[in-house]
Amino acid sequence: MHHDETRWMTAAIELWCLLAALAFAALQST
Amino acid sequence: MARAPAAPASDRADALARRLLGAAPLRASVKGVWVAVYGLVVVLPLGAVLADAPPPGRGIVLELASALGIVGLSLLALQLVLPARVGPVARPLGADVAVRLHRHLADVLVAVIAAHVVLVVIGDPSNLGLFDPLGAPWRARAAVASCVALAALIASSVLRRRIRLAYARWRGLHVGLGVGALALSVAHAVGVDRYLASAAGLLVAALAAVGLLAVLELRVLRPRRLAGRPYLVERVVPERGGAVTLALRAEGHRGRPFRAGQFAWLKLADAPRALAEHPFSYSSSAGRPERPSFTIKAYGGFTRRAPELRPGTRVLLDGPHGSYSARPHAERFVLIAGGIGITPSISLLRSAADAGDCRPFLLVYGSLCWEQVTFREELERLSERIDLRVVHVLTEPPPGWEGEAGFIDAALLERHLPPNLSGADVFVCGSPPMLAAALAALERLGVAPEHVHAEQFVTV
Repeated sequence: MHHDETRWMTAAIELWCLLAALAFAALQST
Repeated sequence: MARAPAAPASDRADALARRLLGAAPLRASVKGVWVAVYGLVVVLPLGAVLADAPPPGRGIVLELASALGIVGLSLLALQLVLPARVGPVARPLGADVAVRLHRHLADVLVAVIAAHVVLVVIGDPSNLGLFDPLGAPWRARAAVASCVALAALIASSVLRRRIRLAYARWRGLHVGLGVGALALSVAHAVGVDRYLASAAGLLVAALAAVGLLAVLELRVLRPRRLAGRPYLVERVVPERGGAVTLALRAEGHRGRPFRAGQFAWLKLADAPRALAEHPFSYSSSAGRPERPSFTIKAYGGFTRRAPELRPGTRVLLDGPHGSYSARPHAERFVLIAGGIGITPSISLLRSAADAGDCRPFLLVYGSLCWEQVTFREELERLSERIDLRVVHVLTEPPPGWEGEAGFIDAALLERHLPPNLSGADVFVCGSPPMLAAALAALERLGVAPEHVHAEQFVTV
């Protein structure tokens, strides 16, 4: 339970990468 | 020029204690900014593609596959940078946090690459032909080879102990497979030749170059610098519990200042193989950086050779590293240690004693039996110098033992921890089961997670 800050860092980077890839795909396919 | 009036003795002790035990911890916002910059760098090539009049799209699935492929390439290049102990990563995060992030982001990288491969096939089922080892174009074979290298890298990391792969060999293999996977991925992207022909390609090449430079820094440049600041083994002191203390002395320099609770990679200066280095917590007082010591228990590999080191042996220290920094305004300290996990705690206590720290320390310390309590006598002496209470927990107590017996668990901690831990800094170091029990107990006691620092000792 201790404050392993790498968990939120990883989650933030993962989400950001997914959103960026989706945005790229949406922009490129229109 | 007038001198500022001397601070009262108690203030001076306070300032010294803060210097030795911990500087002001970096605010979470610094790490937030670091993550934001990292995230921007990862997606920079995607932005460059969009800004550079890309060729017409091929449907959302294939475009998403391309985007994930480019993101995967950036993530892979940056994976080489994270564990390289370079300033822009190690300073804001701490080398230990950077290595943990490297491990977690490996999962993200695998997911991104897997999604890239699956979407390439879903978007155009004829792409299944790219997996034909004989008929596929070289760009596809490079991609498959890169995935194989990554799979071997992950398997060797997960199974290292089971297949008895020596730590130093595993590190060599890990770096080699990582660099190989990156080179093959870059070759794949060059072969695909769709989006990386211009600025985006330059950005990806720059990221790959940064990754390779980070490896060069860690494996070649840093060891050369460290060789100019060697340490001598002054004494090899046997300790209770099958441990030995390597007492070192800086040779021709003043040593690198460290904070109690930090660690360093230790390496024999004359060892021919550059990869044989091992992380150990400092066990000495942070007040004497020119004479650091490390207390090592023989588990195997280098730790088994440590007792055989002779005084006069030259060693190199890559450190200090580690994100732990006691809160400057902590009102008390709770240290929970199991076995050789005592080393960061003894450094904290020795530093506190040297600094004249008046704050209360509680050490809950699990050992196998009374005869094997590492630093037993010194803990008794320290409790006369500072406000220290030690609760020994023995797995095999002697007849007539009235203290705690068994293992450190939630019930035991609840018996000894003060009811109000709001101002306390808690440092836990031990084996995985002890760590799990202690952390669960601390959660039940309502200790704020950000005030708990946990370290699992590793046997390498």
